[in-house]
Amino acid sequence: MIEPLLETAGLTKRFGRVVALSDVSLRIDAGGSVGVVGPNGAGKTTLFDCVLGVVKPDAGWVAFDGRRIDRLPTFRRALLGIGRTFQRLELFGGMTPREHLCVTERVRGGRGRLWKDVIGLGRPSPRERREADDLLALVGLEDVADVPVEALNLGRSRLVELARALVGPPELLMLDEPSSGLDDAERAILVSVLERVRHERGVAVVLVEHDLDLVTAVVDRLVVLDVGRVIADGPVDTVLSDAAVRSAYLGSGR
Amino acid sequence: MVEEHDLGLGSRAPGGTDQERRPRGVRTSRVARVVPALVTVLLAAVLAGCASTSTNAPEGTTTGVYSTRVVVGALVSQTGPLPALFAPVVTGARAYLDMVDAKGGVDGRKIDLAYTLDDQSSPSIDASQARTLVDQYHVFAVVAVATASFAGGKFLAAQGVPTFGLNVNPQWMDGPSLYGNSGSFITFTSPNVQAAFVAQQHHVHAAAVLAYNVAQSQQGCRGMVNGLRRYHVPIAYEDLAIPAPASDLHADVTRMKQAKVDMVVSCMTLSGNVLLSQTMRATGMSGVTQLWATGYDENAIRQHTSSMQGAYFMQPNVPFEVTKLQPGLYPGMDQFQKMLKRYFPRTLPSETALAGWTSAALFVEGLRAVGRNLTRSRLVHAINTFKSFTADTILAPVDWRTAHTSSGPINCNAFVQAEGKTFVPVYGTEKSVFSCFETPHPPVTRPISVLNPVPAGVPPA
Amino acid sequence: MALFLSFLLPGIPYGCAYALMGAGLVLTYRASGVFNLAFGAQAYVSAIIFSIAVHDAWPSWAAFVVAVLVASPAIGLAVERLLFRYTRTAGPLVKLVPALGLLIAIPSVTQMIIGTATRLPSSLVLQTWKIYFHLGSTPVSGGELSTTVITVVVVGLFALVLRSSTLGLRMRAVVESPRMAELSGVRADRTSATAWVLSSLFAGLAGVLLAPIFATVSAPNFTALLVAAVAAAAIGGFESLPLALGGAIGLGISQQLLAGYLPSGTILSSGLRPAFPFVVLAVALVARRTLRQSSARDPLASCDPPALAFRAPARMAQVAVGSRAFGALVAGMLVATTLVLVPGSWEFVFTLGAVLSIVFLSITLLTGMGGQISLGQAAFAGAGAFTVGQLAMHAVPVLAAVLLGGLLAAALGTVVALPALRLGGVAVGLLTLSFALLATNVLFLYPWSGNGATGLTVPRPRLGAVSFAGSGAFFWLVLAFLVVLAGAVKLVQWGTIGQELAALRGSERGSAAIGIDMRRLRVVAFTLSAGIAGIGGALYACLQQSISVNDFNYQFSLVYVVVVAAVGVYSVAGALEAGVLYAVLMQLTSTLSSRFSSLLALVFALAALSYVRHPEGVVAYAKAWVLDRAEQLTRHFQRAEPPGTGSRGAAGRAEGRAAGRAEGPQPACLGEAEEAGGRDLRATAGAGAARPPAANGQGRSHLRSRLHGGDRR
Repeated sequence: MIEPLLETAGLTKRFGRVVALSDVSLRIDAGGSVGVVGPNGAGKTTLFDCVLGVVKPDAGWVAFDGRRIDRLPTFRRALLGIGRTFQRLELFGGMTPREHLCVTERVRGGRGRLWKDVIGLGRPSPRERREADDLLALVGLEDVADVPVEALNLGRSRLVELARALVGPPELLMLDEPSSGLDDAERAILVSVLERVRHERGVAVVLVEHDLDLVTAVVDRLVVLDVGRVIADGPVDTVLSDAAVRSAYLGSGR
Repeated sequence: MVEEHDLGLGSRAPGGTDQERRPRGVRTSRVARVVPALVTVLLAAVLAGCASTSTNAPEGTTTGVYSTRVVVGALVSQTGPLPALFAPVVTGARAYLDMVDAKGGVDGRKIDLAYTLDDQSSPSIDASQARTLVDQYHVFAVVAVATASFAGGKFLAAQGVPTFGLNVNPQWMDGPSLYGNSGSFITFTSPNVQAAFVAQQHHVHAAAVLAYNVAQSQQGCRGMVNGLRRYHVPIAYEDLAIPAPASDLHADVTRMKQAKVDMVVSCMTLSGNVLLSQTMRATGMSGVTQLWATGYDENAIRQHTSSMQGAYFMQPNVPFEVTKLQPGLYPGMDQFQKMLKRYFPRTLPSETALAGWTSAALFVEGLRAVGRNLTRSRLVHAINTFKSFTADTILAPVDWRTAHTSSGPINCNAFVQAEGKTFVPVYGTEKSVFSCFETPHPPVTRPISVLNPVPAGVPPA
Repeated sequence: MALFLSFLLPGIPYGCAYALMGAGLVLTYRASGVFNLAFGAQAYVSAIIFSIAVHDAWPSWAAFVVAVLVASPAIGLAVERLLFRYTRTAGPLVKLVPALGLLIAIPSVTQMIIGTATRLPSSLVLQTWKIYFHLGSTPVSGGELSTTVITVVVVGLFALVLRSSTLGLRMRAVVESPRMAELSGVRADRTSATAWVLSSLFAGLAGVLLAPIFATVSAPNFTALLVAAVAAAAIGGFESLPLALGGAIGLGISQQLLAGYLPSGTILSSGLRPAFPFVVLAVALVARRTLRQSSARDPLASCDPPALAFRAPARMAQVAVGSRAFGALVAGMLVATTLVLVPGSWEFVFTLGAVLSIVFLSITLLTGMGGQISLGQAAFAGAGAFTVGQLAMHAVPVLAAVLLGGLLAAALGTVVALPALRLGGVAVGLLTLSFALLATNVLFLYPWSGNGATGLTVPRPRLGAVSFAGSGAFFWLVLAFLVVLAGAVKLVQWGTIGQELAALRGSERGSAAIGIDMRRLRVVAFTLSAGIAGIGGALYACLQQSISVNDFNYQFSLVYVVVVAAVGVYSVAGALEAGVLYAVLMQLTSTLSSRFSSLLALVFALAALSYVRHPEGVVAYAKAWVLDRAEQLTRHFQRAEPPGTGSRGAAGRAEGRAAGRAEGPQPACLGEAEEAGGRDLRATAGAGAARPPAANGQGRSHLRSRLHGGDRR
């Protein structure tokens, strides 16, 4: 059996009396793609935060690439090769999309040195600029490459975050509701980008999403969370026909 | 009015709609909108002033000396921790100069005290203000200095600028053109006889010495401590590092009470001394002999009558009260009070005002000695031959041939005590209010009998 | 025991005053997120009005009404209405800079109105210094008695109001979460204005109560009172009123006990008393968990738009070149005239301007680029300056000593940055302020460092045969330092560190997600900034040749931040302009009568008030205005060219207008609100204030519309 890329076991997190995660165990293989769905408050974002170290779980552990990472700070986990987008945008205000990507290239490459800055070698290298341009082209943002992100609408802002998460490229991409606020054209870009990074670069994808059409278009496997517990985990079709899932989540809404 | 202005894209927060943007002007503070305009106008006005002041070049051959006037300046700590102490020096000097000018000036020139700069009690600002007076305003002399620290002294001495003022800083010894009010020599830490003398008069068993952690205050009291020790007065409590200005003395006073202190020597300022006295009252300490380094000021005793009762003060000059008690005996002091009342009716006589007066007097006497052909070096040369300067019987005599570098063999002081709403000269003789002591030069082998005042009348002018 | 009691009793009035002001600080902080440092100034104003009125033979009740019930609350209300109402959703810097400006502006305006004459305080109710009775053998004075009784009564009344009236209920709801309170129909801004009025009243009362204990009514005493109150508020974690009150009393008492039991006459004992609140503050900041979070724990906090990020707009090529050429011309003219034309003292002024520019660069780097607030830059500058002074005494070449001074300051910066790592926004500012106070009150007084008010003398440097003793030569030297350092800061801004800092300023979570080590970056920024300040301070020492602790007083740290923020904190040019402007204005105001001696600080403090609207600074704003007009003109003359092809900025702006934020606040915040709501909503619901928003999909549009509707317009 191959080593899973990301593995969690027994993840539990409470906020006061609210149980956000309860004994969540997950495995994601390299190059795999998993959709995490569930009603609001099911603990999807908390799961992301626990995996990335934004929130410290009360119990359980997280391993990435066969190595326990739950004692590492967030930025170290990111440097191991996990790219992430946020449910609520976390863009760098005042910077342009190109600057977002260039600084991410630099950080992920670990090439920044203070002395280089001081003697004027700190600016983005031609290679970094080229890679940034490639990514901008990939998500269709060439035309706004030098516009501060405040001026972009929500959809394009999400694409900037997506591009930022793709720098490296990472081994694992964790997307938190990437399609909210996107128009149809932007959704199409999102789907095609995800397809391309999965197949061309072998990036594993974890996707939290309400939009089931998008989820089923992108992922092979679905995990359903409800009140912090995993109530179903398996191939998309199997899960969607599961009775428990239907009653807990889909039955009422659709 | 400043127009609505787009700062560029970066200044917008994400998430605003067009409707939101429209009333933006209303949403932001009105003050915040007007202020940039106000400030810009202010800046422009001030910058415009810049051009006019910087082109103020001298016309005469000697800096600051013109055919009908001599331009002089003053340098004072008007702001900072101890402003009330220093500010009156200008008033005193002005009163003297106004009197001289009213009589036609000196050799046809009126003396124009045109620039008074504030050093904000900071050594660095002091140095730069001294430069400003000389380089930018081209004063001939600085006739009234009273500053917390006198870092500018070095520059003034190096430039040979005749400088006069209240001597509370060691920089007065930096050169032959600097004239402190009662001699430029100052040594803070050499034993001070006077405190020991007062202690002896009161048969003190346990003295306390209090000073700020400011150089002059601290060193002045260190001299007091040395004097008390030299003459075997027991020191029961000593705190020479009180943060200036004093804000709370409960801990000190409680410990003084604990040590059964019966005399306090304070080198703090008036407000610190008043606080000390009040705190002693609130802690139930009474019958304590107090010797205050500062606070001999009629205005002060009117405001703090009860706090100052019984406190002793010592002066390098005759006390103001002699004018009432022995009119005509000290004409200079009578003149000072008359002129101060004439030109500055709202200013009461104070030590610092008197220092300003005597400083101006020395300057004018120097001008008279030089005559019409005035230069800085001639003035300095003339004053440095004065054998016995008393500012018309106000000061104990100063020998300016040696007073830059030594204190002379005899050291005279007048003592006064606060009584009711006024001060009373004490320890003097019929002929003189001064009590004089031989200056103890270390190492002193003399016995305590030195403490007997050596009568030394004020020599005639 | 009697001795203990006689040390302890005088501490109680201080404790009471700290408690009143500390309670006010907590109240306004929770209600509007503003840490109102201006309370110190308000206390001063009340005290001075009260003493003037009493000396003018007003009955003391009338004086009390005017000073405490009218003046201070009026200032509080005005400040809230005109300034801080608009900063509720802004970042910590926007909230702090105007407060600092007020702390400086209010006393200077007061001084201009009433003059600099010494004002004596008047007792309220009982004779302050009279002994009324004895507690055992320890006398109890009127000041101690009246302060304690009045404080207990006022605090008791306040607690009663808070517990049992509708106003109290509303206030508690707003303090818990202004946004939630608005959602349930409480007029949050009206309630927060009430909080401002009440806490200003407390500040005024504290001022009038404590004034008679000081010998004279002077502003610095009340600034000291304010910082002690800040420490008390920190003990309560900026949220617990009972803890803050208890901490305040404890602080007042332990200050007196320290003064009583430490050996007298030493720098440590005399310095520790004023510095003690800062030691407490530093410990509380580092130890209390609630202070570590950068934002208030309002469940809806994430619905606010992020803090404004300033970015100079890109200009049309022609305009950019023109403005750059003009800037170079002005700078060149300044340098040339300094060396050739201006008389001595103006030469000195321009050199001072260049030196100050270096110190200000450190603020540009840390605050403008790094988004962190330091209120202790003067202490770092002092460290550099005194290093030079000490080393020069030991015959170390002065230029080497200048660099070593920078290094030492940088090391100090690292040390200060380490405990600051976990703190956010205002807390970092307060921590650095406590360092600055410790430096001025203790560290710089020792003979081996600053030698107190006596200070040190510092020679001008020389390099081999070249002496920089002459003012012209020294100007060149300072200029060389300035050019090198300004260039380095600019390069750092463009380079990795600068970009990482920009990212961090934009979003902490986002920058962690791309792998930025926030802690290392903050330490680097602090270290670099302190190092630059240290070099600036060292050159200042060489320029003045005689320096003392007064040159690096903690108040300068506050003034520096205000000056740079007022002129322009986001650009290197801003630091240079600030330095030159400050020095020139200082020279021009030096001849004013002492009543107007604070005009210099006032100009910048007033300008800082505009920070709410113009975070880029007054000068930067003026420049942008001129350049905008220039762009319009240029465009007017080249009609043929369609806008946008020549200039990225214009294109970007067009895009911003067309596509920009048609989306409203990011809806995602609702989810977070729900998750956090479990705890916080209970609290508000308990107060009868709010019901949690409904499940997914139902509350969203409602919430958004309420947020829009509730937005003040």
